[in-house]
Amino acid sequence: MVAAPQLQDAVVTRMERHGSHFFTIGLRAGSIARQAEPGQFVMIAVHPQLAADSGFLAISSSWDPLLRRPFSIYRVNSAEEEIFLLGQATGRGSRILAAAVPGQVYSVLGPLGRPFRVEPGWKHLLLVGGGAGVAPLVFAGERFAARGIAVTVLFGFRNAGSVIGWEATSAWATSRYLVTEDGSAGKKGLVTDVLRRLLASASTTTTSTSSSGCDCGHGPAPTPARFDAILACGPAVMLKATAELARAAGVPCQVSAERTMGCGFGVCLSCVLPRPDGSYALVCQDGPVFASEEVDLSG
Amino acid sequence: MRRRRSISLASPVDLSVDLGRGLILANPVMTASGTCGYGEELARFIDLRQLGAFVVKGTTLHPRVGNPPPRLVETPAGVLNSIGLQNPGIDRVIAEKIPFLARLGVPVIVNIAGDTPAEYGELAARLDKVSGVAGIELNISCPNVEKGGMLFGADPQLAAEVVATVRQVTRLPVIVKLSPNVTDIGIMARAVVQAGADAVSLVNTYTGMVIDVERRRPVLARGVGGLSGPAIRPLAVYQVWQAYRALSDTDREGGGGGERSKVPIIGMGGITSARDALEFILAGASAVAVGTATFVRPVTVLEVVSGIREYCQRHGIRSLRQLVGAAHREGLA
Repeated sequence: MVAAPQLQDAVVTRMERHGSHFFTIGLRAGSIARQAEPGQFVMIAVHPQLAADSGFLAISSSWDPLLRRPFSIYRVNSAEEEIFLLGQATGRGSRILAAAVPGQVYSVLGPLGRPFRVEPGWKHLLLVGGGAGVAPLVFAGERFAARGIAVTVLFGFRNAGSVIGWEATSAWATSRYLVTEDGSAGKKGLVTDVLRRLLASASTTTTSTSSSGCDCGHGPAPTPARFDAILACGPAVMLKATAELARAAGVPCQVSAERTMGCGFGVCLSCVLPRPDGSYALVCQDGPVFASEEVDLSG
Repeated sequence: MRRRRSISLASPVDLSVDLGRGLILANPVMTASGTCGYGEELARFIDLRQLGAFVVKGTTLHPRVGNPPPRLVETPAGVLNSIGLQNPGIDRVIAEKIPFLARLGVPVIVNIAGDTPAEYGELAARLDKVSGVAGIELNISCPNVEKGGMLFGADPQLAAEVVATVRQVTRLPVIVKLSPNVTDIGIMARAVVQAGADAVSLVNTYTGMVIDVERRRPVLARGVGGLSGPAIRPLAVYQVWQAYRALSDTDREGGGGGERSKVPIIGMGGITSARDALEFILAGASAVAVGTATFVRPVTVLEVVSGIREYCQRHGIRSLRQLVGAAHREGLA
């Protein structure tokens, strides 16, 4: 059972910038940090909170932009009750949030949504991530590896300057594959190029476990392995292609979807994703993690 | 947190509101339809029993899948939405949604929307004897559906026809949610009251549009949407002010009334705090609803309750009724 979400005033513990537009923000978030499961997200107000004033309660320092922003939980430091969010300072809201400094207080709502689900008996997971979409996968890999599950990582980025979350995976990944669109880091290409080879080699191999991994994509050919499931997060085209390859290979695939979100807890009905039957799923409540066949990823 | 005021527990404030036909709310603060689902989502954050009333999502005769995305876009201090009345239909709402709220004991007001006056009548008739339903809100002001919706809310005769149809089939209090997208909201308010409405609620969203300049087309899939949030608050306060004036010389039978409006107004539009809510009350609202702020801060609606109580204690107000429309009586500077 997924824990009930909380509304918390969280103090910024760390703020780091990476490359041209990524940032990670650390927040002391008490029970959110204790309860969060991989794949869940928080809604964070992009403006810091003001102290209570003149008889009315604490409010955001601005109502513009009005809505909170959804962020997958990227990492958790349970001992310090800290959560880390990975942001991309591209939109107005995320650029405002990127100006946060340690010590400021931000309102955080979470943990929200359905997490990745790992079935008993699963021994090997493949994480397929693109861009800032690697965030929930880093949390997932760390958690599931700690439970003794082998985790293969396949991350793709635009270029070397936009590689994020990769270093963190070295601590727990069984095998790692890095690709960039321009080849400035790892192997040149798309994650789906490598995925196709990984799944093809897996399907022709009956008994094999991966023991040695490729750190950069320049090494030997992918180690044949059988994956119990693929967990994916990234751009819609990548998710769709990943889901199709997984289906063809007969490997269960869970995707973490992203949509414009108003509330994050199921009342504004904005973050809809079509289901095959024509009805809509809510990304915030029915997801963000879906079995890939549950939703129409091109919708 | 500094607290310079001493709050006397010995002088309780009467926050109760009479919406007519025996519907008395313990306090004037309710949720606004379409911003709080059917209660279960919000119940994870607040104790719904502390609300004056819970107003459920707009419900139609048949299930509606809603509009295609994008359905929501941010605007300066607001949001523009085009959800399109996505809901499971009245039968499932009665069977699966209302029992949860009824068990809590919070007064449930069901917002209904039809394509024709007869559909409103059928919806109201089905709700008439449902346990836990304390009132009906007629949504004649949704800008995001093809038929019905705002059409009824922009024509006083059509609006009156809808109200009269519903009035015949239910003994429940009938609240009419008015659109601000009219030249004179007072005309609409008078028309629905004369047709038998027990109360009016205003405002629904303002029609608006956001255009994606890169793609050179409207952001929302349906083009037009309804604007809500703090951006519309001064507009909404003025609409309540106008409706209060219009209703001050109208009573339910259509004859001359007193100086004060006898017909309760439920004011809403961009409320984020008790201070905002008090603006509506002073402009003439007997009750208020919190909508878009719930998206941002789900506890807002209860913060408004406690903030209003605190304000009354600070100003020595024994009964909230003293404040309703008080800004009219103070005169203008």
